[in-house]
Amino acid sequence: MNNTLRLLFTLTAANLKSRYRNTFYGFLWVILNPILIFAVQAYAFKIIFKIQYMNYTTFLLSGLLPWLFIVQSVEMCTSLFVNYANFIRNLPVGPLVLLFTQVLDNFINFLFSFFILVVVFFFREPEHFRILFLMPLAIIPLVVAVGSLCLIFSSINVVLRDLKFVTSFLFSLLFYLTPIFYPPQFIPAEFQILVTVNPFYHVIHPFQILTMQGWGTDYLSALGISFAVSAVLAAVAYTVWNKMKGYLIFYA
Amino acid sequence: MPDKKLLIDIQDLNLAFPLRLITSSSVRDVFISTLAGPFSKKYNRSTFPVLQNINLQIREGDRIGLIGVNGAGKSTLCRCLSGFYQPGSGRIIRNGQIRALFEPALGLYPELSGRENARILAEIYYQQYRNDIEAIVKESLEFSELKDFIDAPIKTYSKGMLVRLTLSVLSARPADILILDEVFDGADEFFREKLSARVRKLIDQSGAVIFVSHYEAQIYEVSNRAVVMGEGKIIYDGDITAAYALYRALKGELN
Repeated sequence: MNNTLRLLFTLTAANLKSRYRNTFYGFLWVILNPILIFAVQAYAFKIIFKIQYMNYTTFLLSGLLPWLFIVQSVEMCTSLFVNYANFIRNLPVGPLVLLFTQVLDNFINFLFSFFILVVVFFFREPEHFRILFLMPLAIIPLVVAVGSLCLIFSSINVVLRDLKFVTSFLFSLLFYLTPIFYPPQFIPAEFQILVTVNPFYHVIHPFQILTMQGWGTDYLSALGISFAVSAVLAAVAYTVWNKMKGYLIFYA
Repeated sequence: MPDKKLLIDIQDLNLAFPLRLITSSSVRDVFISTLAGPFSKKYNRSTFPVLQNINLQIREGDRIGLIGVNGAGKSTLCRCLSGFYQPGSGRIIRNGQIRALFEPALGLYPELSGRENARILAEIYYQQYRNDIEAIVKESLEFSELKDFIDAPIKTYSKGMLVRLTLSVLSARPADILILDEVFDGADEFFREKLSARVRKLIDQSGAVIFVSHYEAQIYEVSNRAVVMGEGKIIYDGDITAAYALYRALKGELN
């Protein structure tokens, strides 16, 4: 276990180093990319569509950052076993170590992008700044969910090679179905079911609750649901992986 | 040699390649074929045997030359031993750390330098030499004679230079069980001589060695026992000269 963790950190450091080697801008992009996406959406929905909702900018940001973490991780991991076939066939590094290296790499990028939220809070709501210290509670189930989703998609992609096209298509649909740029309260009652069955919503929701309402029973119940959803995803991932791992080597 | 320590014991090992999943390999195919006939879905359940009834005992001091035509199952057997492949049935008992090398021109991180890649290789392969990693990297880099290229990104390396780097690191310390699968291919002549002296030393110090090569001279030089494989089975295990006689007879049959 100790050896595995050490290897995980060594490879993650190598990943990060090789990505940002000689490019300060490469690193800047990690922060700039979500800022640009956020700026365009804030412009479209706040200024053009004039969505009226509490503190809309903070709301949008708190949902968008975890969403981008999920999408980027799953899209990068889906074809990982195929892309790293050379590693898997030739090196004594377990496929799971490679996968979680990628997830950890993305997680570190996600933490950096979180500075945007920190800065926004610092200038706009300094009196609520301390609620950010409660955010790690929401980050734990998010990371478990992302790791599980990556494992599920990458395992299936071993036998169904076009899965990565399907996932990016699904994510472009899900962006509109998940309350990120609109609050869940805006959804008419007959369509609430779309949110209830959406696992992405459940792991993102605690972030939105915390930034909008702060600490309270709403945050705790959202956290509870988030932990439950991530546990289910982890169980599914474990089952899928156990079924697929025997095939991996033949197809990687 | 029954008094020597048993390092690897393979019992009734079988491995089959499932054909079913290759036949429909896209989400869109599955989607369309399910629409076309949701209840008539037929899976191809047949398999293609890659390894059949392998039984092999490897003891301390064994230097096994593994011989066979392409596709005989040599590399698959080595990958099973290394734990990369899960056997379909049978057992592999390992009493020791295995170090296996399959692809000497493997460039891990093209953007990183030779020094950084050497370090990562050392971290991967020398987990039991934890405190010695700095020394292993330093000494391997000196041995590789890559000089000024050591700090250049390995995407600028030629294949031969990658082979130098990888083999220099991997031959730095002995292993309990060493698996070398056609590793000398790609190194230039001068370096090959220097390297084979180092690998011979490594082989002498290691517990047991499995050596796969298509060059008869190399097998004779390194091995003290030969195993011939054909169509996923072990067809001979013993003396090298007899093994080659059988191997040549088999090849004659094939031609």
